[in-house]
Amino acid sequence: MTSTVIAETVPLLAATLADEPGEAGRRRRPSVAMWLSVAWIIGLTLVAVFADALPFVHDPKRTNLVHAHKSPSSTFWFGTDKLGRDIFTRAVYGARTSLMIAGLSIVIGLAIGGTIGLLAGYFRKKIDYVTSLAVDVMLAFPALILALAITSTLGHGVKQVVLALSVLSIAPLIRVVRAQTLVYAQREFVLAAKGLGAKDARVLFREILPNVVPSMLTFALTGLAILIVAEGGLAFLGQSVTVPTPTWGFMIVEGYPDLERYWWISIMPCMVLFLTVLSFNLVGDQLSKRFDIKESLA
Amino acid sequence: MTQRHRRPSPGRLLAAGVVGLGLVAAACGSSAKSGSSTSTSAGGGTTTASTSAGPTTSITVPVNTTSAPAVDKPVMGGKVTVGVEAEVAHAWDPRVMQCDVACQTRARTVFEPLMSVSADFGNGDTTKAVHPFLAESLTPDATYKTWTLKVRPGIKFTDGTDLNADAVVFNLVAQTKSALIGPALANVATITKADDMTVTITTKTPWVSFPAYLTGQAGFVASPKWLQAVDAKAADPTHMVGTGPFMFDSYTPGQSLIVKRNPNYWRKDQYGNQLPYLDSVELRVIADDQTRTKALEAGDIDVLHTSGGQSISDLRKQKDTLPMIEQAQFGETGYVLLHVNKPPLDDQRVRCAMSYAVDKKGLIDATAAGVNPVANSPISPGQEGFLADNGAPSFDPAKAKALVDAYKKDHAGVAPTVVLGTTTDQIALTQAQLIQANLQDVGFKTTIKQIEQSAYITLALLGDKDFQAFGWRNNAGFSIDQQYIWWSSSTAAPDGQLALNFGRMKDPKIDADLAAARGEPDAAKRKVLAEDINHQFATQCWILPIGWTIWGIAHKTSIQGIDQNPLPDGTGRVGLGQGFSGQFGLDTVWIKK
Amino acid sequence: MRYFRQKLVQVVIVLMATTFLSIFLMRQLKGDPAIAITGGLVNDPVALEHVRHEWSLDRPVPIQWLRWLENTAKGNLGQSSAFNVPVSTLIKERLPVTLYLMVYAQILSLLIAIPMGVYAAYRSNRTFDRVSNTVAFGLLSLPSFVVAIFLVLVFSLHYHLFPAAPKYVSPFDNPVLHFKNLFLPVVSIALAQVAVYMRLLRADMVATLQNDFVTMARAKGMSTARILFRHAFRPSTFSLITAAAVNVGALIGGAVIIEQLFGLPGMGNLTVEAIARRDFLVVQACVALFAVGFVLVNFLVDIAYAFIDPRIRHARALA
Repeated sequence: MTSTVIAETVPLLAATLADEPGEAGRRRRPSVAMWLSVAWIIGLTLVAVFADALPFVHDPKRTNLVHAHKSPSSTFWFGTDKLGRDIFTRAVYGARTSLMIAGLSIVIGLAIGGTIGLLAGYFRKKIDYVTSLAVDVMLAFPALILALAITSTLGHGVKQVVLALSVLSIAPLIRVVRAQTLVYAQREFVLAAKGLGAKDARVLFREILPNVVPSMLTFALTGLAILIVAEGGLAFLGQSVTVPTPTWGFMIVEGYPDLERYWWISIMPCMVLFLTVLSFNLVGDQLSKRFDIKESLA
Repeated sequence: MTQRHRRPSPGRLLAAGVVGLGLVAAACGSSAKSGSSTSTSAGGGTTTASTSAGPTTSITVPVNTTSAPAVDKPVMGGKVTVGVEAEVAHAWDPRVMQCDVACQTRARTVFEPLMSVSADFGNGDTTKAVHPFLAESLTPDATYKTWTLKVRPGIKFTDGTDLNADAVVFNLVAQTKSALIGPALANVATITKADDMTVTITTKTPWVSFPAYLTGQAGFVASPKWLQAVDAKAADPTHMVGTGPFMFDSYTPGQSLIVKRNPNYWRKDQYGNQLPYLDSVELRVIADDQTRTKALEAGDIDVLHTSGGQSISDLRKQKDTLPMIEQAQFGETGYVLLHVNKPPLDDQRVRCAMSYAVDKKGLIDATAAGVNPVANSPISPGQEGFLADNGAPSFDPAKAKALVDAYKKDHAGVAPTVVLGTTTDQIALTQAQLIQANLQDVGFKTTIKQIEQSAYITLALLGDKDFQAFGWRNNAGFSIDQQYIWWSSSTAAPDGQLALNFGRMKDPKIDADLAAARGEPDAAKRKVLAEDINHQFATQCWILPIGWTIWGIAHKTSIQGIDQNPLPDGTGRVGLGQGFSGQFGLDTVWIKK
Repeated sequence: MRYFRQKLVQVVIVLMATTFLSIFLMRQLKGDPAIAITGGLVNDPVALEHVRHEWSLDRPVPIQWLRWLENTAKGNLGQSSAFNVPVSTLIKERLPVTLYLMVYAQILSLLIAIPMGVYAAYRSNRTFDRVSNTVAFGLLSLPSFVVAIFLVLVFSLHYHLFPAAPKYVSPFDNPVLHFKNLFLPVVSIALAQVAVYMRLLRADMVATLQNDFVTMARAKGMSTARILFRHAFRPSTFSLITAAAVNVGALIGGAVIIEQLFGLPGMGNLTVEAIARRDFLVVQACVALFAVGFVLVNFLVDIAYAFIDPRIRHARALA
């Protein structure tokens, strides 16, 4: 994984910052794609949360060798894998695991990375210098070694994967939040507040944070998409949660050797992963445009 | 298509250094480690056989298949590309290389051993299976403590130096001092040069099976001039120098080894042609089974070896275009090793419940395309003591549940908990998940613990408390004495200390039988002891046997002569896989146009 | 000058920190490294102690690190415990593979992304722009290994056009085979990057095209192509360069997943193997190389910025 996670993180986040000022002021109605994405995300979340109660979702760990390698049908919507488990069910529970891991990681990453980025962007000087160095070190370090170290010493589990992904997302998040903070820290209203004698804490909280939060939300959504993929990457390298808990990445890896014979084992989770990541990206992009529009009108 | 680099199972890697040391037939006072596994090329096809002295059964027991004997005259020239399964660590110094089957296949293009295993395996008498190769003869005195080794004359290393007593002494002494091989040769007392071509070896105790040890890595003879230069850091340890049919050309770690014809090789074929036939061989490491098979199908390589069930199944369907030699005897057993010195696995009911609970056939179908035969003990087909039916538990969930319930009754209704350890490769993970499902169905509480390969071996060696039941693959061979170090309580050091008896099992009956077999010269009596050990495994359920390994050597139709390697003393052929099941020699391979 | 000094300090600190961290984390990995190095075949405690001593594993982490630093400063990267060859040999073999992969992927993605991005910006909000935007999003959302799996399924298993397990062939030995074998891995990496680059370029370019100087150029009668490529392009490449730089920096460490999937003997694969075999010296060399590459690339980006935007050059001069 080295830093394909990071590599994908920063440009994507950068992409969300590059908006189209020419369209500022023109109210754009959210597109069809946007609504479909929202629908997918909500639908997926609901199914994942209420999986246990849904009639069409079975037991993700129930092995039944009689049913092994069955192609998609009305009984097994996505077919079965080599142990006879229903892939649709596993994809649903995989959603649970993947979303939970990605969600927790981005929240923690944002909480820590966002705070540090804020402080670095506001106070500058020494704090900024040290932070920049630390960020460089973190970004220059191969992510794989860190992930391996965590799973090797602490074991394979949701907590450990969350730990690994949170740590890995801190550095890029510091960078982008800092960049955003820099923009606002120079603004007149901040200077005005300072001139009036407001304490740093107050300025940070009252003036800067509210302006940075919208973009942080955008990063959260895009970051979520990236972390879902990153977890898939970790699963590919054998560093994700323990079997038999399903995650999309692991299901894709499991199905790869049988790609020719039983394509659905790998391709189905691929599709689900793709659609989910796409949805988060689209929504994140739309949000970034909306918030930026607001900002230029302010 | 490749997946994550799948390294060979820890058992095999570990067994390498120990197992690749030569064979151990029954012996008096042999304190050394177990020997290698070999296979015979019997007449092709499976036959109905029973090797038990008891009631005959008509269960089909797999035997090895062979390629058709050469009818055409071999053609000189050409290059062959071989696909092997793993990279060796510490290439290519025979004193330190951690030689598994892929390494054996490659190293034997350049290095040759002092002794060799014949294809007929001594026809049941393991002492008759070992024949001289680089040695001209190896004769003991009446006490079996003094051995006279005559070196075959007229052989040179590829750097021009002579193969003589000095060279043999140098190599043997170095092996006895090596951390890797030394322990196996601990019973050797002195090694001295008697004259230019004679070496005298004395052992501490009578050692009937000593010659067997010189058929493997311990018996490799490398050029002393090169070895000394390596020690002085004046030569590259990867540029091996030996007496073999080929000589070193180039080596790219993790990718390929290229060897080229040794123009001064000492052997000729029966037509008087200088061996080897080939100009050069490239041995490529392709770790993933299916990728290797696809490479053969695509024509990227000419020969491969594989033990993957799916690959063997696929190749069997293509036997007209890609003939395959199968080694189904003397191979390894795949099993779940149980760490039995702590509850709940110290309870025989729990262990046997596990055996009854697991659907082995289903497992093999799911992970190996149903290719491997279901195993009933660590004694695989062909090995001394093999029994087609030894009374081991079969798939019977009801019986398993009954045993678990009995256990629960004695433990206030608490179900037995087992931690299943596994490496992170796909097949191991699938196996673990299936076993978990089976066990949970009969009332066990189980969790799966994924452990990285390197850590896995350490935990097994040290008897880590988290290592309760873990997938393993080991115990290839053909004599019961080769199983000694794995199961004897003398090698069951307590947890926290290094021990080869990973499960820390202590069975007095097995101990007694192993000790007796070690000093038993009579083959029939040894067989009785070995079968008793087999029965003991079945009733005590010390391990959970799953399946027996089959190795396939598949090749293009143009590739001939894989198992037509003649013994220098003219008594027959060198056994395919000698040194290691899955290994094959390139000495007599040629390309038919 | 002050700027270069700062940068140098930065390089040194990053190098020291990452290599120290690497040894520290490697030592935390479960399992006795001496047992791993000897493949579990040596169980004589004395011999194992000897192995530990040989690789400085019996000393505390800082000492092991200082030893490594000392040797590296002398130019001795050490011997690989797993492969028995000098570490530098391994790097010499593996680095080109990764570099080719990376360079080809960048070239390919830029070749596709630049024209598309420029055209999309030129005809912003028209059909081409909308369609390419959607496609870009789709590509963005495809993880590289998913792309790779699809490509293998179609072009290797179904159509037998490219090998699923390519062998690395040097371009000096057989250029055709060299490109054929690297094709699928390169495309797998490039596809997602195309999307990112295209969107970034398009966005920046749209902004640039709003500027007064463009309006003036048009008023002066300058041709569209000239405006687009000679005047508007350069200032629009900031984000593009940043993104490309980050990608390059990251890929120096080896696109691990792609290399694993295709079995390519690159730096990423080497790192994974070395970690698995507890080959400390190889891991150190990989980490150091990656850190150097990363910082170097960042440095080049800063220079590129200054080159593109004179304002920055002046700002620096004043700083």
